[in-house]
Amino acid sequence: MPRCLFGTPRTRRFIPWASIAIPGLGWLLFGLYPSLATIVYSFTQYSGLPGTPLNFCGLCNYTNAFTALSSEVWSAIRVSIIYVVGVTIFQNAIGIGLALLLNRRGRSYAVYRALIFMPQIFSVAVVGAIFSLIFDPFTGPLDKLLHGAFGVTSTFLGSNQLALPLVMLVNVWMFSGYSMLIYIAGLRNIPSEVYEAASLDGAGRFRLFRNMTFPLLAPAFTVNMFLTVVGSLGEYALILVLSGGQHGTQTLGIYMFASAFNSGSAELGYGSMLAMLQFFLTLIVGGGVLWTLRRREVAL
Amino acid sequence: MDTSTSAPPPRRRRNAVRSVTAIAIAGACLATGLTACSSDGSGSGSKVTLTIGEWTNPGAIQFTEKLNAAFEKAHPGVTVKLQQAPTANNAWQQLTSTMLQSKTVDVLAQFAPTQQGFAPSYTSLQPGGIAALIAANKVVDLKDQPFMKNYDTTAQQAAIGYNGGIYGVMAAEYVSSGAIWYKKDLLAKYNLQVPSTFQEFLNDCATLKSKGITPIFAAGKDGFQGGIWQGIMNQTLMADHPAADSVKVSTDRATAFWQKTQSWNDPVYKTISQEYQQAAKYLEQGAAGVAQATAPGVWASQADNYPFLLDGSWDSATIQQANPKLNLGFFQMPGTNNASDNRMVVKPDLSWVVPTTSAHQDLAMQWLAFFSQPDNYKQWLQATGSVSTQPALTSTGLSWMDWLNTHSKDAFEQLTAPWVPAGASTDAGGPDLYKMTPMGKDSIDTVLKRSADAYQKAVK
Repeated sequence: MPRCLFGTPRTRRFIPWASIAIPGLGWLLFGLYPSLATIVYSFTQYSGLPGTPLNFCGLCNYTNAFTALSSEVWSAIRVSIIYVVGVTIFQNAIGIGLALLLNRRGRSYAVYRALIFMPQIFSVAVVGAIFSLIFDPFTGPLDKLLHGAFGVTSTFLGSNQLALPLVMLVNVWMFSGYSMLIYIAGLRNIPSEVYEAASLDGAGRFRLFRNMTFPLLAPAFTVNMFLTVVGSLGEYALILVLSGGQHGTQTLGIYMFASAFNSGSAELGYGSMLAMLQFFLTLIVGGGVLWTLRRREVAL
Repeated sequence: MDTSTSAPPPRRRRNAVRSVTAIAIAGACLATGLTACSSDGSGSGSKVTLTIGEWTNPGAIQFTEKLNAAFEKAHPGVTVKLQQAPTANNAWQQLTSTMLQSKTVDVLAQFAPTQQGFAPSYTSLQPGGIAALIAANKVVDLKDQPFMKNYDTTAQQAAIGYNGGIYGVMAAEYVSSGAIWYKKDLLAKYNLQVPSTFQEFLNDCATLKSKGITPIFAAGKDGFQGGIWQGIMNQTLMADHPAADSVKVSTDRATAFWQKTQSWNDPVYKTISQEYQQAAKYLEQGAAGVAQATAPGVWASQADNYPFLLDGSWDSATIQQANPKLNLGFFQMPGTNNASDNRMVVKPDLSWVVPTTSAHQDLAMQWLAFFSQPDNYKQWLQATGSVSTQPALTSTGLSWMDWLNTHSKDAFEQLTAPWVPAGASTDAGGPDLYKMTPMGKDSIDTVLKRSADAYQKAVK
């Protein structure tokens, strides 16, 4: 029987099946099973510790969320929406700006692009630790700078007014490079003839951007908007490291984490119910954004 | 010749040999792995591995490693493995869950649940964390173990007791509410004494401020200003009660809150909040943004300012590491103007438990007995700065613990908070000091009313 790199023809027949089965098994174990378990746990008062009873309570968690604890839930949803809107707008605006600025040939531009993308590869813990030190009102450089330049001081992440914008700022700083790369890919797909024709017609830079570049970036814009909305809705690690969810930074993700894990009275059952709410919120907001932007693409 | 039935062709034979060899190797690996895991010591010449799980606290970990080495020496054939993770960002809870799930831990450190962890059935609140494990009979009752005689039964019962059993050894307790580290030399420089009443404390702060010194340093970003409020509250509510009554006072208060005969709007909490404000105005500028990760080190390095640090008594190692030359002292902030009511408030902390899934329960008991020996326990106290939970051991000999050693006799267990369901807001658990002046902008009345409303709504 002839042999080749991947065994005999008989064994090769199984390669496609194995290629599907192995990741499929991984998805079943690490994707589907935890998701189904979360649905089940959301109907319990389960502590989350192995060996303890599930304590099925029907819809008790859902009922609590919209009666006794409704103010906490709605407050978390409100903060989540503010966070998503702020991060999405600024991250994409900065991403487009950087893409327009750095979409050039040359080694130095490659270095700039790499530098701007770099925060994306740092772990959230590292970024959180760096910015916690920068924002420390006692030892951090930012307070000294502010005090030296304007004679004012701030508690930064300890301020009820500033904590949320600052966490959003760090999020934008961390992920703008990623948005920039997608926009650069989009820009490179726009034929240069389009710009040449428009220039011959006398279009200035702003009109070129408004009437040519931005509409033709629609696919990249859709992808970026969707990824930013879904990513920032699910963000909790960065907020946890920076502010611990204090000072008005308790998003639904942080509230879920705190309810499920973060104290002696934490309850995975209630946390799982919040995870379900988060899922539906992502579905509605993310789905809505995708649907709207797809329609816009078609209209263009 | 029909080779298919008499003998396989060379290639197939080679494949068959390879398969058998692979299976044999895999089997050998599995057997080795299982032998390594197996631990009852019944196998011929097999080693026993006792696994200890403990969260990362430099002093405690250092001591445990030393103790484990001594235990291994005293028990030939036994290897003690230490598993650790920091408490930050849920890492310790993840490790705990993994070790329990895989049934690989024999002695596990847990925060004492106290009686707050076991709310009465009429509340419909289910226990969480270690309390859930105890209620589900997943932890061994240590009440009748000989080494438990070294410890104060009442304190152990309060910390980790349930239905008459004692499900762990509460090995450490710390002053947490109103705990104040101080710089002895700085107080001496301004002719100040350790205060014994709340007014004396305020007078000390006022004197220091008049000399250009900022009296109190605290990691407000992580809520350490709450130590002032909690300290005053504990001593106020426990005034005129014997120390042994603390569990009863806690339970009565929790019951009254649940039944809505008491609330955060009661006058006593207004008085406590007013006193909190009087002390909190002496905090460092920008306290709300200072993180606990840096606070002890920053405070220790500033020898000529900030005489007082609001921080738990567990942080001695961190402070001394940051400035070994610092002449360090510690006292409980006096919360009332009656010196005899200003007793030490201790909070149960690290407790060793033995899961019922442990494969080496006898060995685990031997390890706990070894840990509980007075000589070893004294070293534990010196390493961790814990207040002794063994009545026979009253002094650790550490210079910064002089105040603690002389006041530990009257100490009472920190009052626990009223029961609230999982997911309840911060406001329901007590006044949000970030929102109350001087850190926030809201008045005492506004903050207390918000807390009272949030609690009423949460337990509806």
